[in-house]
Amino acid sequence: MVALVWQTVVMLGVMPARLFPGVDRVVATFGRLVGNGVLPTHALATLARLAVGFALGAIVGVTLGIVMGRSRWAEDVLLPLVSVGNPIPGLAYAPLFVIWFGLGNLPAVLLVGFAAAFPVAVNTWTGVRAVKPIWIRSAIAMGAGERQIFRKVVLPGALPAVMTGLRLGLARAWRVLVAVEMLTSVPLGLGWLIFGAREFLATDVMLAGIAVIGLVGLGLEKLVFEPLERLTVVRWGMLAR
Amino acid sequence: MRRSGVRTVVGALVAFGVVALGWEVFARSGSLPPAITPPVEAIAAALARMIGDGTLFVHVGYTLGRIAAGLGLAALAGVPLGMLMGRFRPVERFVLPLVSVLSPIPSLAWVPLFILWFGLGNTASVALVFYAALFPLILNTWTGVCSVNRLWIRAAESMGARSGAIFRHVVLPGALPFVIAGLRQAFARGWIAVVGGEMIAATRWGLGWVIFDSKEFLNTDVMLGSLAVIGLLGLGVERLVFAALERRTVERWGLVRRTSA
Amino acid sequence: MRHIEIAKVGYEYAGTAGPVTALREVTVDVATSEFLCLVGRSGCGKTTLLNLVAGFLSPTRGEIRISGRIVTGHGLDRGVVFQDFAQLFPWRTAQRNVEFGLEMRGAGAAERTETARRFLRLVDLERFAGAYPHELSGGMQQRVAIARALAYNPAVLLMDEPFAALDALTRDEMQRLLVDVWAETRKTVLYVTHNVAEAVYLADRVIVLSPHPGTVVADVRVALPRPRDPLSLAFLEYQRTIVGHLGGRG
Repeated sequence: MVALVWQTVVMLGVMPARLFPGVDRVVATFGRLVGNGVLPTHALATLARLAVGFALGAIVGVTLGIVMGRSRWAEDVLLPLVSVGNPIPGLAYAPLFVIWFGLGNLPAVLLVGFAAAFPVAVNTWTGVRAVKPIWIRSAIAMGAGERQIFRKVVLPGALPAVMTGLRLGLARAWRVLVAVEMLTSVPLGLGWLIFGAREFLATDVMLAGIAVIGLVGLGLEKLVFEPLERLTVVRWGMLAR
Repeated sequence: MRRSGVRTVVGALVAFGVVALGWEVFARSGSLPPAITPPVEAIAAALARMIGDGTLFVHVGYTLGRIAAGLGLAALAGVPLGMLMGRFRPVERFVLPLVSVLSPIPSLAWVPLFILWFGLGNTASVALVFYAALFPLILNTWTGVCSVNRLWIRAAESMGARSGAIFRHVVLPGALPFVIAGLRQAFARGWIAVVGGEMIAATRWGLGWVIFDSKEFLNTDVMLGSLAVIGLLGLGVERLVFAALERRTVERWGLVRRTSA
Repeated sequence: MRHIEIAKVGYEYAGTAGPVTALREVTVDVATSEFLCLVGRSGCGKTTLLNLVAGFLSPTRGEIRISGRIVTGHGLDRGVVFQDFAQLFPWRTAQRNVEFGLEMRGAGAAERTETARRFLRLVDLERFAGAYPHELSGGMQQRVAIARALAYNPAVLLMDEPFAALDALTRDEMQRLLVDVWAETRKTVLYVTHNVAEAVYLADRVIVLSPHPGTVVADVRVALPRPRDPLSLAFLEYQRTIVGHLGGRG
């Protein structure tokens, strides 16, 4: 539908065709770029950075969240830091990271991990604290010790919130990554592809790149998180779907 | 909040104290040049300088203005659209596929294209905020209208309310918690978009632009100072505007289910 | 033989306006394999008393002994069933919920599976062993909770209004089932309820507590053969007696 409207507007020639390519051209460019391997190469480079950065962020975030949820002392000290850091857009650190870590992959990956860690930590913390006291009581009544309670009650009990955190973290990581690729001059990557195409006014390439970015984002959500949730928290009835 | 206020404040002070101290030791150890890791007082001085000559306020003003304009436009477009989607099937069928395709695309991916379309400057940044804020607003409003308790509508009908009155007195207030949640999300996304957009697309003013511009001259003190301002402003708006809004309306009615991040 | 001895137990806690006495000078003995109901209005401290026996709280005065040993904390000699359906772990199937206590005791996989099956059969839920709690009705969830509390073979079963949140028909069914389970396992049961008819239907003995502070006001032995008929004259007579001790409608 939107494609139809777009195409009509373009055909009417209201706007310069150079800046507003028709749907046919975008699709053709998309096909060409997939065919000659340019888009897949860029997408793979971006995904690899995402995987490493997000894994880093998830590990740090979950650990921080658990520590904050289990120890009052850690909560008092870490929570203010996390709540001030959380609303700062990860991208705002990008120039700083470039100064500290140079250009290229390192600052991009670190920044992605950094940005992802906050929502993961906050949600893990919420989840650990929201574990129902009656579960813990039941477990105690059945003779569970401190460590068993943690492993068999607190961890699964907090999982729905941890999942939410990972989801938000990944979404954030994805957004930051695309933008940061424009700023740190990585050699390959979707963000870089779009940004570079601007120099040549190659709007069709840009739109094709944007489409891939949207598709990958959607794919991560549908292919990674939904099955994971179906197998765990939805199966357990802990999340209404 | 069960935690006592004093404990929270002390905890926060300890936290920031430790971080500041750690930073100071690291900065003064000379393991990295001070231009890259400026000590705390340099950051404070940079902030004071920017406050003194008034530039900080201009930057903040531009940034807030852009996000307000973008968010306002998005609310004007998104909330009615979400309402229409919730009330009329055909609208829902037409708009929903569009929204679900466009909303996962990070707003910043559009920056280069927006620059080409709108040029550098305010329009591109505002458009970016508009784009980032629009989808959470549409989706949340739509969900809100759809999930208004049917019993309330039946009760209103049995008391003789017409469809206009039902919309105004039942659907609108019933959907409000979701609209507010949507505004909150929209602000969070818009905040990222405006800072990111300013880095790439702004010409002279705005907090994002300051950070990016300082990189050229290795003014790390200015960068860190602006970062702090961005964080405090984001937190402030979230806490003061949205929390207050929620307290005044939906929390009073006991409607709120806790919304996370 | 005396199984549970509650001797001159008092319990105080810090309220907003100074210390509150929840229980004073409560003395109750429960014989082995006896079914004892604690009845009282809300706020009379019956749940507090149960939590003391469970070891979730410790008495500020007096002492509680089980099999002669003073209660200092929770232990595997007691199984607990709460009122809240949410007591089951939502991430475990009925079977795995029942296995939990055995797992904590370090039982092997084969023994766990077998024992859990047996207790699910006891509460007539063998077919639902693979179901998650949210897929079961409230009554079924409470039956899983009972099986779970019994599976690691505690000598004492502590129950805190386990059927209070069920509809009347299901509750009747559950009471019949509980009597059967008790007849088969011969556990010592301490059962808290505010429902007088339920107490008369289930109990060998009914202890009536009065509130502010909680003290024992009556100890009624229900000498009716099982299964009991809630519409018989003798049954109604017991109800009248206990309601009289409560001071008005229970």
